[in-house]
Parts: sequence; structure tokens; C-alpha cells
Amino acid sequence: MKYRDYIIRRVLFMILVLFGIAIVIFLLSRTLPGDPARLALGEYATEEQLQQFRKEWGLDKPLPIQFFIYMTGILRGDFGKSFKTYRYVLTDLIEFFPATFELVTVTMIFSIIISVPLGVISATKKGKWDHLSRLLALVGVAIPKYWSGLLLQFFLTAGILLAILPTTGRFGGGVTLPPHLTGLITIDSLITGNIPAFINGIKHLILPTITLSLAPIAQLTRIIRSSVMEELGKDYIIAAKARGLPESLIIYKYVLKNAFSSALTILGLTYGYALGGAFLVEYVFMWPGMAFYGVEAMLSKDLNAIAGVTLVIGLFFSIVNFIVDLLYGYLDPRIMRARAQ
Amino acid sequence: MSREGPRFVTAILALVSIAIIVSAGTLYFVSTMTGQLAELTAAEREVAKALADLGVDIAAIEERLGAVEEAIKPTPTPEVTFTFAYYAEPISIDPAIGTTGADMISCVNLYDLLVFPSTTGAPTPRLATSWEVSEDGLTYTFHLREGVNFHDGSGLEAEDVKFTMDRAVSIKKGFSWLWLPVVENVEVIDTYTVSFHLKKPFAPFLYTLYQLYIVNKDLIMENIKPGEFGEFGDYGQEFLLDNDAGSGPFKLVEYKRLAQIVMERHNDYWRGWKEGQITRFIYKFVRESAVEKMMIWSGELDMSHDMLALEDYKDLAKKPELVLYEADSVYQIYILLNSQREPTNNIHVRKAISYAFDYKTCAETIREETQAHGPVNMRLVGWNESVPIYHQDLEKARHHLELSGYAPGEIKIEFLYIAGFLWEEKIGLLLKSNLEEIGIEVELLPEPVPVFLDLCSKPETTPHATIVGYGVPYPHADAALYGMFHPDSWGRWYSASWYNNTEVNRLLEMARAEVDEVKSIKLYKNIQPIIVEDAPAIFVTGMRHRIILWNYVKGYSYVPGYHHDKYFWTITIEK
Repeated sequence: MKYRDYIIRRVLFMILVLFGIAIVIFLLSRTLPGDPARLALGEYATEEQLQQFRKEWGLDKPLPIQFFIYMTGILRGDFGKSFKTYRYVLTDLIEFFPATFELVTVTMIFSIIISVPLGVISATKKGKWDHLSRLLALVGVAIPKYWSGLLLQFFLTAGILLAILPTTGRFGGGVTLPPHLTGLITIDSLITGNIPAFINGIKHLILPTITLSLAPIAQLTRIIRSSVMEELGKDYIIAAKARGLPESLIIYKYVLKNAFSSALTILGLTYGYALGGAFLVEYVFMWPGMAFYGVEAMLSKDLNAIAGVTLVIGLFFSIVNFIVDLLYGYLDPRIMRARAQ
Repeated sequence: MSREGPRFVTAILALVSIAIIVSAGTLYFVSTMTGQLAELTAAEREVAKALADLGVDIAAIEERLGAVEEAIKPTPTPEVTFTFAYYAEPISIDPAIGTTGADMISCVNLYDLLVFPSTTGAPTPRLATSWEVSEDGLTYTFHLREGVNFHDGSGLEAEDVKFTMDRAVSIKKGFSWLWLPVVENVEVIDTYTVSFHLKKPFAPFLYTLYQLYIVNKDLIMENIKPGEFGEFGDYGQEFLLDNDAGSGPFKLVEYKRLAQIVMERHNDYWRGWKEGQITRFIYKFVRESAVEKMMIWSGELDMSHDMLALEDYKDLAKKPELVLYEADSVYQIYILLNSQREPTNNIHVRKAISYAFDYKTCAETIREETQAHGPVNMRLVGWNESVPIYHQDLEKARHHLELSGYAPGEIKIEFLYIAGFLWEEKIGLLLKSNLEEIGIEVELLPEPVPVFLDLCSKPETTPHATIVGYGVPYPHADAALYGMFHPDSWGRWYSASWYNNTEVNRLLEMARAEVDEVKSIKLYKNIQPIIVEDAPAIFVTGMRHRIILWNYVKGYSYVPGYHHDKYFWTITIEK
């Protein structure tokens, strides 16, 4: 039962971290350049309108009072209203978070599917596969998402070469959207049995996923390659081979499990990072997600929205890292034992 | 024991996800099933049973009724979809709150106006069939068109016009600043007659009505939420976040933020519909201009917006099926010179700069537009055709620099522009090389919009030269003169010249208060040479409005105004 204590400790720590994020983001967002009133009301706003806006949103109150209102709001789950959309930030988050979550999750799954075999192959079959994966890694990390996204659109959507995929958006072309159950189009359309909607959602996901996954695939492939190579040199592998175990069993059951820890770290970090880093992809593909919403909020100094987005990303990051930590224990019993003590 | 912890956790996680998916699915199916079951109430089941007992063949009757319905159904209109993308999305589709281009594109299609700008910018009848102005210029009486229906079927009456103005000036957002200092009250004379009573005569009043999109009083009052406006609650602000209360050619069907707005034809629109006009208007938001270009090229969009770069329009025009539409707009480019900060507070420094700038290269090569003729755009009502214009004359420039008391090499000025706007950067580089020739150094200062707005909010922080493309909120000289060169407009970024000339202020106030239209226009014209003489800005070019259309899109034309050209009732598709 010591393991249960470990989990409880981690959860409490997570809450503390989120609290710290809330304080930090309150202060940081107020140092951003710009006047929220002017940015929200536009170029024709008069001085009276600006004053009215500041009064309405409590921006003319002293900072400690603003902080108090802000913190009590967050504890209630009320992030306030967005200066730009005039809706509750929570409403905006519920609308936009699933879109980014879906994109990022599909990207991560796709990255794992591609990079695990690729990493293993380049570790086991040296030579041209290794060179290929090295090239892919370099290209994947070096190409800006912005450019690769535009290139994919150019060649596959605009009819300059082919026009087989939609250019922008998450959904479209006359098919009805499934009801907002989880907010994930793929899941919702499967639950409600709406296959045309499912296919439509997948079609719109293809290019943004490829764009967003290039860098993770590159990093994961290299990490898996080096960890696998390290494992292959160990004694127990020689022993297993000597005992006549088939190659594929050795690699995919024993080696990968031991080699995956470092890949898991990268996976966790990339997953959390991609939630905010999906911005460029969302921008180019006009994907109505939280990353785009978050950057817009920062550019307009939309204080409530900035806080909301940051806390959601912080929460997500914490949960992902927590799950990664738990999975470490699953992969390596030695870590588990250490924790339980 | 050591393996059970994580196994336990993964099992819990798996169970939880399965539970969520299963319960969501069950909820959905249950709701649809109960929907179907609810259709047959107990009473209806009784009747069906009784009829069946009498030997009535219900199925046959239903079939006959169905056939009759089919026969009398009018032939459906073929669907005509029009897809257009703007580079930004609306802040608000509420006509009392929105002010950006994206907001106005929604309003001009969902709502209707009392008067609409003609090709000269002057008001033509729309919801108002005629109007009179009283002798003292204080009362404007409009006679409304009868038989106009809102999207919900109710009729548009004088009550709605009064409600629209009252609502705008109470909420105090959007373009209410046009009317707050001027409108006393609005009076309903009878069902189709309404009078606006002004506090003082206001010459451009009719032109400001191009921003008064008429809303449906009854619909809004049915949907008010608690708010600060007494019996009017929140004045329907929450309702209008996602709905429309208009009488315009299109009605709102879908508004997905960060994605698109879908509108459908308002079949009862008072102007009627003919073959080929739009039935479905999809208004997308596409931020990245490269993506917009691709979408037009592939035909995913039927029409571009007007904010692409010049090179983009030229590239797109190369495709034979695409047509480039061009017209001189009412917008103008200015380089505002801060007249409250050294050294640009010195009139001779400003004149030196005005004479040094290479207007010809800028107009012909960088912008491919016409050089501006003074502070007022040539298409605006009240433009003075004989206003003197500066041309590049380095001799005169050096002469003025001498008169200023500064030596060549002594002055260094900052040139502010929005980071990422290449055309602004090019003009800045041009100015820099021009001023180098007379011994003034220019430092280019690119900044993002929030910083830009902040800098221009105070005279001490506003750079010496700021480039702006000014879009007039109403197509009248007053918008340019009062909006840019009067102290009342200080703080906004297009007043970054911080100009204050008591004579100009006096004449402007006189011109605004003048009841006689001819005399008023004359006063506006007289102001312009004075401003040119003071050189508070370089008047660069009149902006050219450019749009790319597919060759099957007909009926589009530019209208002086603020996005009034995006009134898509005029469009027909000929495929």
C-alpha cells in the first residue's frame, strides 16, 4: 500500500503546481505588451469606451484586488469571460480544447506507429536504413511546421498537383457534424454510428497530423534507435539468442520494453508540448483549437483567456507526466519497488 | 505485490474510458429513442386504434396525402453556394458592438440599413424610401418601406429603428461614438415614420447611418437576460453573440468560432430574388494569405478578400479563370508626423520631409496606386480637387531643413510600422533613402499591433513618423479630417500626428454644424489646404481596392463605405 501513498503524494503535488502556475500566469500576463481595452475594442475606440471597458472588467482596480477576484474565481472554476469572444472562457475551452486534444493525440499515436518500427529497423539493420532514419530525423526536426504544412496543402489540396484532401478546417463539405459528446469528432461519430462524419473527420486530420508529427517522429526514432542498440549489446540478449528465441520475440517483447523508458520521456514531453505547440499547425490549417485560441488571447492580452488556456495546458502536462511516471514503474519493476519504500 | 500497483492503475484508467464512451453512447441513443417514442402520445394512439377498428386503412390515406403534398410542393430552388474567406474572424456579429471588417461583413448581409451608399458615397434609399431634414438641421424624418420582414417573419417598423438607436447609445460600444454626442432622441411618429432629433446640427449625420444596422426589437426583447439596462436587461447582448435579429438578405444558420459562419437566403427579403443569386453563403476565416491563395486557385473559394499583397493579386490573375477586380477605394495611406515631439514639432522639418519623399516611385512602383491629393481621399464627399500637393523636390527640402535650424546629419527620426507588413516596410525604406539625401537619418521600427497601439496612445511615446492605412468609418471628408486631425480623436492610432490647429478646429466645428449642405462642403474643402500647409503627415497614396473573383461570379462592385461592397445580394453565379 506504500504505492498508493506515492500516488496520493503525486496528485497533491500536482495541485500545488497548478496553484503556482495560476499565480505566475497572473503576473506574467500582465507584463505582456498592450492595452487589453484597446486591443479588444479595435482601432476606432474612443477614450470613453476604453474607460468603460476597463471599469467593466475590473482592470482599473488595484492589482491585489484583481488577484483576489482572479484566484477565487479559479477555485470556483470560473475563469471569467473572454474580452474578445464575450463568452465564458470555460465555454470557449470546452469548445476548443477537444479539437487540439484530438489532433495532438492522433499525432502521438501516429508518431509511435511510425517511429517504433523505424527506430528498431535502423538499430538492427545498419547501413542504408540507418542513413535514411538519420536523414529523416534531421529533416523532421529542421523543417518548420509552418512550411511543411503549407507544402502539403500546396501539393495535395490546391489542385496544383492533386486536390484530394481538404485544405483547411476540421470538418466540412456538407456532412452533418456529430453531436458534441466528447468533442472528438472521431469518437463522437463512431459512438453515434455516423460513418460519413467519421471519414470526413479523418480526412481533415490527415495533413495536420502529418505536419505536427514530423518532429516527434524524428526525435522518437533516434531515441528508440539508440536505446535499442544499447539494449542489444547486453548480456541477457546474447543469452536469449543462445537459447534459440526468435529475433522478433527478442526485440518486440524484451528489448523494446527495456529500451522504451527514454522514449517514454520524450513522448510525454512532446505530448504536453504539442498541446501549445500545435499553434502553427492550427494557424495554417485553420484548425479551431485551443492552441490557436491561446495565441490569439496572448496577442490581444485577453487576460482571462490566457489564464484559462495556461491552466488547462498545465493540468494536461501534469497528468501526462504523471501517467508517464506510472508507466515507468510498469516497464521497470525496480523503479516500482523503490517508490513503494 | 510490486506489479499490482501499476496494473491496478491501468485497469482503472481503461475502465473509466470505457465507461465514458459507453455512457455517452447510451445517453445519445436513449435521447433519440425517446424522441421518436414521444411522437405518438397516448391520445394519438387511441385515435389510431379506433380508426383501425372501423376498418379505415390508415396507411392508404397517408400514402394519398403524401402524393398530394408532393404534387403541390413548389419546385425547389437549385442551391447556389458562395464561399468567401476573410483573413480574420469577427469579434462580434452584434451590430451594436462589432467594428472590425470581419464584423461588418456579417452585418451587411444579416442586417439592413435605412440608407445605403451609392457609387459616389451619397445616401440612397434602402429601408427608408425617403427622408426630410428640418430647416434648423435638428430633425431627420424617415419614411420606412412597408412590407419588410425580419428573418423571424415579423414586420420591420419605426419601433425597431428607435430601438436600434436607443440600444446602440445605451450599450455605448461599437460605433455608438458616432451618435452619442449628436443624437438627442428618436421619436416614433407612426408605424412607418421615425424622426431622429439631434442636439446640434451635424452635417455628416446621414453618412453615419451607414453603420446603423436595424435590429428586431421584439425578437431581442423576447431573449433578454438580466442586465444593467433596467427593463431592457442586457439588451440581448448574450442572445446576439450567436444569433441574428436582422432583416438582411441572409440569415444566420451556423456560427462556429475559429472556423466559419454559414448563412442562408432569407426567402422573404424585400428586394426579391432572381435566378443565380446566392442561396447559401459560407463565410470562412483563413488567416494565412498563402492558404487563402491556394484555396482560391483550387476553387474552394469563389472570391478573395481585399487584404492580400499586391504580388498575390498579380499571381492569382495569371490563372485564366480568375478575374482581377480593381477600383479606387476611399481608404488612404498616411505617414503621420508627430507634431508634439522634437524634431517633427518643427514645421520646417515636416516640410523638408514632405518635399524629400519620392511620391512617384511609391505610387507607381511600390503600391501601383494614385498619389494622394491632400488629407482627404479623392472619392470622399467633400474632397477639395484644387488642394496643393507636394512633389519630390530635394532643393526645397534642403531649403526647409536650413530654415528649421537643424543641420544635415543632426536629425534622427523613428519610422513606426506594423511588423510583418511588407509594403509598409518598403515605404519606410524608400523614405529612409530619400531622407538620407538631405541629411536626415531614419530608424525603422517594426512592432506588433499591441505595442503599436500602446506607443500611439501618448504623444511622448509616439514615434516621429508612423505609417497608417486609414479606413474611414463613413465615406465623408469629416471622417478623415475630424478623425485624424482634431484633438477629439487623440489617442487613436490614426491621430498619431497629435495635430492641433485652432483655425482648423474652428472650421471643422463650423463645417459640422452647418445646415446648408453646399456651405458645409465648402467649409470642409477650405480646411484641406491649411492642413497641407502645416504638413502634419505625408499624404502617400489613395488605396486601391483589389479582389480576385472566379469568372462565374457576377455582380460584384466596390462601394465607398466600410465593407458595404461585401453586400452579397448583388452577386449572381453563372456556371
